[in-house]
Amino acid sequence: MEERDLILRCQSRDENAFESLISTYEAKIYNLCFYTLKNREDAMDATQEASIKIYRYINSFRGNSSISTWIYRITYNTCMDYIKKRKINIVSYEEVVNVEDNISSKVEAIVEKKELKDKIKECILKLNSEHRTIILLRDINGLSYQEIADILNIEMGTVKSRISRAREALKNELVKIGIKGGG
Amino acid sequence: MSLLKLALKGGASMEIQQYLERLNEDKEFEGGLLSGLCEETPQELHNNIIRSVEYDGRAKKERMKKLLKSVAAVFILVFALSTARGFLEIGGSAKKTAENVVLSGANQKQDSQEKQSVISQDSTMDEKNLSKKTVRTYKIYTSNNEAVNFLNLNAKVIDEGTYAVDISFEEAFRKLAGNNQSYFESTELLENLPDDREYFIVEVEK
Repeated sequence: MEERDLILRCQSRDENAFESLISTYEAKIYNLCFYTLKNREDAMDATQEASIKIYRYINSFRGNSSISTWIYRITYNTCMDYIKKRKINIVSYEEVVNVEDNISSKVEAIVEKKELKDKIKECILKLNSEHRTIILLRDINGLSYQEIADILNIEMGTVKSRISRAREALKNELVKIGIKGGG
Repeated sequence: MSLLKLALKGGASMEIQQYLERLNEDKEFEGGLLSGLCEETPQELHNNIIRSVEYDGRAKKERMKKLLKSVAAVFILVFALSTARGFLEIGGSAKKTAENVVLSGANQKQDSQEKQSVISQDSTMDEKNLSKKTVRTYKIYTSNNEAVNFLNLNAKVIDEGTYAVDISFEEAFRKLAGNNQSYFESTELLENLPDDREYFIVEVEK
């Protein structure tokens, strides 16, 4: 109810309302951009582009799906356009970590240079774009099959099979770096 | 501080451990177990988003202004051109009026000539159409049914009881007058004959 009110205010071009809405979703937008583009700078640019699109087209949101699904869909399409337009060179996660080392928590780096979650993240980023996106939406963001189907504009059966294949691919990558079930 | 951090890390690791176990089971399982892998958003992200949205809004307003200015300029240009054209047309129409007066006189003359010519052509046609021919007619007094039947089949009806037949005088007598041989010969002006051939005009009296 509160979110609906927020959307209505956004649709009447209330900038404060838009700021509240974007505060709620900016982390999710950024994460989808990051896992799709595998680059923090590109993720930042794409997040801004997606946010502008959300602001521009918020009036076209009719409430047929949830606002989060709508925002995810815009973000995913923005990332796809971003890849097509800029033909970005998707760098490996090692490069990202090396460049961005200073930004990430130094304390964590001191305690354990490469902890488990970083290794898993590295493995996810090695997957192809399709698998990366679906792992993010399902396993990181915890979206339902239906929400994922709406965002990616695919059938629910396709979502299930894609998740299964993506997890299989992730398992193979984890095995490669010596991580097996049970840690 | 470091203890809190380690505790948080421990919580995240529990979920990750669970995820890895489920991954090996080759079964469907719930989503969201890797929520600990969410990337931290850069601090400047929020401000950048708001700035870019504001900038986009301003840019849109500027574009609208430019568009409106262009439309206004085009409108003014069109209005100015049409006004100038209107003035030219007014000047031109005055000139045309004078020309028209001269022309109309000439035209009237030409028209009347044309009309006369048409009338004369019409009268010729009328004369032609209404031309009467001097035709030798024979009035046959007969009650002979055979003669009437013959006329009905072969002759052209000119009027009630009057026929035009394209046959010879002798034949007409033989077929029409029969034994009576009673006829009256005259010369009359007859009109609306079928064509220019010479006809034997027969009037039948019962």
